[in-house]
Amino acid sequence: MFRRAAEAVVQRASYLSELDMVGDADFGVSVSKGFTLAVERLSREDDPDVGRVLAVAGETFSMEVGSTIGALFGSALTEAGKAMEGRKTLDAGGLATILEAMLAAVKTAGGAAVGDKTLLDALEPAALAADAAASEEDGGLGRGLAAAASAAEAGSDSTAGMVARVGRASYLGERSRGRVDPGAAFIALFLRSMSRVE
Amino acid sequence: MKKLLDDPKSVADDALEGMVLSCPSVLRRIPGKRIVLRRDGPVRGKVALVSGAGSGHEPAHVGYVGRGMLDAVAMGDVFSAPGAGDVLTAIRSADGGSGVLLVLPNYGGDVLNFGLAERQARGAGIPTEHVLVNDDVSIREKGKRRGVGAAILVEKIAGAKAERDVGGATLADVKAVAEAVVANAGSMGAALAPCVIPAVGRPTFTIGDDELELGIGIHGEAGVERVGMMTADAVSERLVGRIAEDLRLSRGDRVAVLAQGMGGTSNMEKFIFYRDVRRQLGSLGVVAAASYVGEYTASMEMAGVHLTLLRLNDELEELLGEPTEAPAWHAWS
Repeated sequence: MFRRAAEAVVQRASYLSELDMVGDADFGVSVSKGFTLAVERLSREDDPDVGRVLAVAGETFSMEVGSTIGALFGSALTEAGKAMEGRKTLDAGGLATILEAMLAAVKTAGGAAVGDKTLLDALEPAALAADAAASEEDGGLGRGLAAAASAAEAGSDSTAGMVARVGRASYLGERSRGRVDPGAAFIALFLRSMSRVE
Repeated sequence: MKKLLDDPKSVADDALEGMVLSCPSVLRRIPGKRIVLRRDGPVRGKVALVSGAGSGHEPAHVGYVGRGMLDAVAMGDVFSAPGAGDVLTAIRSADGGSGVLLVLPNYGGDVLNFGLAERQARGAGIPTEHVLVNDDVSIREKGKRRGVGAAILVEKIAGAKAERDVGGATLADVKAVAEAVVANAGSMGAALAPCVIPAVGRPTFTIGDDELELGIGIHGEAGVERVGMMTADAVSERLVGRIAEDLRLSRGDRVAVLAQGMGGTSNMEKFIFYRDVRRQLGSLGVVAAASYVGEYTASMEMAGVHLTLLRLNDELEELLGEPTEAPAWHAWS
């Protein structure tokens, strides 16, 4: 499942690069590289469980990708991997756990807050939505992913009206308004790709 | 986009290969990686200096590898921080048993990736420290200042300290000298035209024929303020003024002047700008003790200039004058 979502992201890579024009436009190249390498490494593992998939992907992004997104997404996946250690299947509750762990990791590592116009503006709503979906009686993974993806998309869209307060776009001040943050768009894209596979 | 290249997606690797091939007596590449080492290293007993950044700033930082400056660099894709794995490999390859100092430009991606590599190196038993370069005074808040031209001066001066005193200078000594450079340096730049990142194919920002962008970084991103086009004299007045104010330069201070083009500016313009910088310094009673004009940390073909002033003391001035084999260090690059 991860592999198929990864491939979908690689296809949209050029869209992500255009988004990053306020900064340095490395985005699409970086995430494509990360997913491609992670998929390759996972294909050499013998039936990895959920925690292992996240750990391998996390290490790949942290060590091999570079740029801000490599480091942030890498530490997010690594923390999610620790939280899901030994878990063989993924359900709605597991999704909530994953997104919460990712959120905590990015907040710690990146030093940004919601409203600063970063991937947090997509990730936090996604984590909250996954949480809510997990506590519903008829909540399955599919519904959880769809809810998380929609929340991430709404969060990502809302970044267009924000002024960047961290990262290279923050040097532009008011001129950073009007474009969606590439990190937020990436999280939305990733979650939507996962929900489509499911 | 009309550039002389082969594959827009492999420009960082291709340019790096070209640099190493052109200077094989000094530079050695780890095959398949954007990691370059000094050929005669690692030097036992010497504090090692490691740096890196995104590609696109040629000759930085590959050009500063060599005796007297850096022991190793890890380079990222264009304008992207290198991965922590490559930085760690550079640290391990450079380590001569006396610790490693990372010269770290203040950008989110670099701070995260170098930070992870630093922790892992320490965990592996290699004493590793970093010096954060944040010299761009166009940004008021010190913690948010970008690392620009002063990184090269750190590499030169701290590199000289480590090289001159093998076995004598400790990691703490070399770090202290590096920090003294950062504390006494200020930079600011202005752009006339943007650059194009090959994998993207379009300019990083748009600017009119009669406009100037002040307070630019070195990654092709737009600056802090858009103004009408000015003469070189007016630009130098703004840049020198802001840097002098931030550093609190006074009459009689001796400075090193690093006046660089961003890659797309002619030599003629660079020297006119430098002349005007000298006039501004003169009117402040500040002495230009050492000058460097050329490209040091450029931004591909961006048109513009970046000025770094470093207030000198005897030790810094002496170390600045020490010889180096790094291919890109010249008075005129």
